[in-house]
Amino acid sequence: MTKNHPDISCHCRRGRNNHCFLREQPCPVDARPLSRTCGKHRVKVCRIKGDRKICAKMANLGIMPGTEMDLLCRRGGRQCMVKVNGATLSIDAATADNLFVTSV
Amino acid sequence: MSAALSIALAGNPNAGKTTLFNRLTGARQHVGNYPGVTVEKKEGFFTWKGHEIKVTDLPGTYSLSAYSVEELVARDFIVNERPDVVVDIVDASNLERNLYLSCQFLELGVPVVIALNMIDVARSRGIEIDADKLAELLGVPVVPIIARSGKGVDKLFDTILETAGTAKNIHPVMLRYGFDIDQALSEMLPLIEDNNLLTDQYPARWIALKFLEHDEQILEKARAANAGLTDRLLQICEKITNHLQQTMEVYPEAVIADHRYGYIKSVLHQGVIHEKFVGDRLYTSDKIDKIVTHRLLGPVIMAAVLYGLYTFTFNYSTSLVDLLATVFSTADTWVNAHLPDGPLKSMIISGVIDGMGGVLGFVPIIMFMFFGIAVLEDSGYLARVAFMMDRIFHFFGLHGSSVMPFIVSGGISGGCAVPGVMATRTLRSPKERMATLLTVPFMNCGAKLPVLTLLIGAFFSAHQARYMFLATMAAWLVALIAAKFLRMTVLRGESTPFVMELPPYRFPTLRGLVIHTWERTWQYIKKAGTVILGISIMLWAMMTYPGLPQDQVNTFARQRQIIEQKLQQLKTDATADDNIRPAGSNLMVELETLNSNEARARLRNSLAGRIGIALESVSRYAGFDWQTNIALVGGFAAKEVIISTLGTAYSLGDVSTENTTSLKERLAGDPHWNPVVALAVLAFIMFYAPCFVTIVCIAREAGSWKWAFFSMTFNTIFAFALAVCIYQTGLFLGLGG
Repeated sequence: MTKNHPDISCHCRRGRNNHCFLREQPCPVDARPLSRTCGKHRVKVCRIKGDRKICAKMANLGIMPGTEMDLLCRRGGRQCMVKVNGATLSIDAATADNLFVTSV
Repeated sequence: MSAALSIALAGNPNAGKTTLFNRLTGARQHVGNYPGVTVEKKEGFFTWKGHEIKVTDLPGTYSLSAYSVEELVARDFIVNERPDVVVDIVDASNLERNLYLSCQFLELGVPVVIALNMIDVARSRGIEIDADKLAELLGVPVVPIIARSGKGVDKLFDTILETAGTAKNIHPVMLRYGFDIDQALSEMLPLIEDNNLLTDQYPARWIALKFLEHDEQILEKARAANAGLTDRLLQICEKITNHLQQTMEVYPEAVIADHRYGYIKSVLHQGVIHEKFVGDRLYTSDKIDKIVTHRLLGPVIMAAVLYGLYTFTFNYSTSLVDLLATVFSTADTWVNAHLPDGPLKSMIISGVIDGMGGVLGFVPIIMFMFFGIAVLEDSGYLARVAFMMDRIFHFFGLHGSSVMPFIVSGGISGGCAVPGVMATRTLRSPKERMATLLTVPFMNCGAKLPVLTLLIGAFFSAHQARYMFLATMAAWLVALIAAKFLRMTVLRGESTPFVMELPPYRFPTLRGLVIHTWERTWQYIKKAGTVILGISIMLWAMMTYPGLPQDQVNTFARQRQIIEQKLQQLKTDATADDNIRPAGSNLMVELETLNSNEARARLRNSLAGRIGIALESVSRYAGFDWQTNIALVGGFAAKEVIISTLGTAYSLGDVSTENTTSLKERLAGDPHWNPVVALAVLAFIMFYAPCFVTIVCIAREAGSWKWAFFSMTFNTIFAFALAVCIYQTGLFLGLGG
């Protein structure tokens, strides 16, 4: 997996797809969907895409731009377990596609 | 004693609501469903200082929006039932996210007491919370508790009573949502208040917020109340939504959520929370998860755990099952000895005792299964199983949590679809739950196993193990493909996103396990028992009536009399000559054959028999003769009945599932039967309509008999089509000779 995936950087720069939350600062170029993030490390959510329901559900779970979370499973974001605000969440691939994160 | 107070326990999933509920109510609780949905409704009572208190355990939710059934149910209960106090259980170790829901209670203007649960866990993570400061800033009582040990619960009761006494004039909290949203609210509020739009149920500002969040339930209610005003309010919402989309590319609910979290942060930063030390971010649970959900170790551990549950359920419940069987057998014997022969006696034995025995005989299995599931659920492991299996099951339109019902129903062979159907309660997404509910009966339950063993033993004895393994694989394949088919047709719809909180690993409490096990088992006894009696009597009648014509009865009676007279004669002569013993044995065989022939004739003449004969015109395409048809019709009652009915139909008298040798030989030697017919029958038995106990459970769990009939029809048509394919292909290849 390349760090600067062209599709990802394109999403982040243009940002025309229903973004859920207030963006205090632009999404960095190396932001990538959680589903394409590998390894166990700490990431920071920079943007959440998707329909109103997904955005609301993420907000309910406390996942918002600026939220830092630990990616727990080695297999990466396709089948993803993250630690957010002390809680462990499992996130499926379709949802993980909508969460754009950067490494912390 | 004062009139009963009503309190509702609300909070995030895994915040400890049910633990507190069990501690409060003990055995004084009742489990049902909320009207029209399959979400469990738990109610109970307890007494505190002379006050009778009614407690309702609401489903765990993260917010009061309308995005899930649980959220709607919780919200509707609070708004419609108006409990005296809402006890908001907050996980102290995850305060920020838990207060998001509390914030919405404050906006709704309901009387709230915050129970700050698991303060011990928070402390172990270096988090100290100033409950008094939090109470002061939020304006509601906050009581630290540890629900598991009961610490602080007495103070919580006192606070509930105090709040109930003073909670008549609660004013909703008004949060600020930034310039754009606040301006929209100021435009909407006068319109809502002046026209009293739903203000008898909700605060005006809350209604305006729900309009901005595009809450479908509130929009629908508002439209029904005042369509014109609703359109006008929606225009304001559209204007602000467009503005926010153009300027910040966000929806209003995102801004609202942002500000709610902003409010919570501002509260917490005013000296409410002190982190004494920054502990390891990865707690014990995460360390266990490293092993338990490991790519290679995870599935091995899961297989071992599921096998353990399976063994525990079906092996350790045996003695209780046997005990119940003995009780029913004793009842049979007693009725047999004390009632005169006739239809009443036959109905009581075959319809009532055997029918009820068939249902209640499952109780120990159900109890053990639910105990095992409660251990996995309360310890937090079940959520991990769902997590690991979701990827595979998702492909077939199911949910990771579907694995448990499949295993219990016979996924490893020999389970039971009844507890399997009941186990679908752990699934929260309705369509995946329904697809699971309808496909678990395809598994090879314990009742099908003797039938499979009989047919495989008779026709494929050289490869018995291989065929049994293939049967298990075929059951999984068919169930998963059927689930995919259902999800693409009658249960079409997007898969529910698998986003769930994995609870931390905890030792289950014995009290919790016992309560969970009993409440679910009692539900089974109550639900299955209500209709079972009628159905079992109906099935008995179908296999009994109409009886044999009188002339045939007389013929059999005459023949029996002749044999009995000969036997009597032999007994008289027995003392004189030992050589007549073989003659006696021959007469006994003759008598047994006569009884078998009479049973066969009676069965053939019964309604079930006539159905079997009538069905032969269609069933011959699958290679089934009328005797097989009767057995298959009997299999609707219970799959075990197939063997005994085949025995009767093939004039072997009563055949037990343990002793099938003679039937095996009879079938293997019967000119009508051959490996192709056996394979077709095998496929049909594996996949046709579930037994009627399962059907009743499906109807109850699905909330409609429509799905139970669908299950019967769909499975039978599919099974028959498969049997026809097998038989006709076999004939075409010349294997049916």
